[in-house]
Amino acid sequence: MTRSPPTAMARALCCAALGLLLAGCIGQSPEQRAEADLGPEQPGVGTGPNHRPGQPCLTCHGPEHTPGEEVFVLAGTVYRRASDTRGLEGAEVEFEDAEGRSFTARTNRAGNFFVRVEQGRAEPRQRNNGELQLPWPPRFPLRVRVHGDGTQQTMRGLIWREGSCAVCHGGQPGAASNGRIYLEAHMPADAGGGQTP
Amino acid sequence: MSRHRLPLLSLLACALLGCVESKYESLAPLDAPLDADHYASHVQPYVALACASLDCHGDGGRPLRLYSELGLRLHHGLRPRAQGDTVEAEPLVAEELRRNVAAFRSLEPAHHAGDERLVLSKPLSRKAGGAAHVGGDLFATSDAPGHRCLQGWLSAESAGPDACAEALEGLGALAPGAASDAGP
Repeated sequence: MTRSPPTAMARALCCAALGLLLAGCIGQSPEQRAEADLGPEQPGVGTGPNHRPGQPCLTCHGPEHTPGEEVFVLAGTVYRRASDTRGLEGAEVEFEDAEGRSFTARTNRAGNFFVRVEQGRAEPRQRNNGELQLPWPPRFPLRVRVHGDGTQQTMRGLIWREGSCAVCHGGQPGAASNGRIYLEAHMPADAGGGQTP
Repeated sequence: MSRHRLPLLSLLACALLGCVESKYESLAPLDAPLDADHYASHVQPYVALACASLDCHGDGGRPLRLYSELGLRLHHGLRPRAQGDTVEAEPLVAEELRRNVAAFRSLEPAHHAGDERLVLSKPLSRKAGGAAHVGGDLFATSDAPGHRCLQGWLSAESAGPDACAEALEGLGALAPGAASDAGP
């Protein structure tokens, strides 16, 4: 039995599929695409608790896609002012979950905090690198208050399901973003005004 | 004018005159027209906190897209702004309210009625007869204030407003128009 030579059409389809594969259109999940969209690490900042301030942490630290190895339930970055380029160290992010349990995370020197569930722990434990370990997963919805340096902001809405603060508080304020989480609402007249946390 | 151009121009004129839009709007599956004023005054404040956050139905990619003062806005200019040490939320504009009402209306298959309505059954606990809802159970039973708030509006009952206020209070969060306690 002899095999007939591939037709020009079959060859073209093979080439197109190969091209798509090489271009990354096949074999990349939505989570991988979201990870790629975050771009490279900041120069001089390695992976770790201080990296990627202001980005949606659970993109790589979520339960379904964890190239960052550790799974966070909540994580974000706090700034003193909306216009700051560096996060605020030592800010306290106070949560209350649907069962009335309160817990507070403290930001590290990049302004980042992240909350992990550590089974077997009796009490929440804050570490110096911005990590808060909880003995139980918090139950949504959550209420949030941020304070530091004698200033505080209370989020007027509730967090219903999203663990990455930056999903709703990413980058510049816009139709679908409240902008960064910050403590001081007052802005100099020439700074263009701040946005609500 | 050629035979082919006439239907095309008619369609275009129809669209410009709003005929296409009004035909679409007339597909409202609910028995009674929804009261937009009732929605704006009583239902929206509750919906804004319970449903329309940016991580739920304020996400433009999800079904039942809902606008709210602190959530999704029609454009950037409506985002709340800092005024001194406080942050002032911009009230919803008429078009945002209209779209919210349209979103609720378009969610309902024509044959649904009463508690079958998706907007009531999705957030209702499955133990109480509700349907699956990625956002979880908002109503433990159909007697929950939030359920009665929405049900009252959808069925044009007078009991709605009190239930909406009760539901809003039950969430225990600051209302969108309230001043933040930011300060030095």
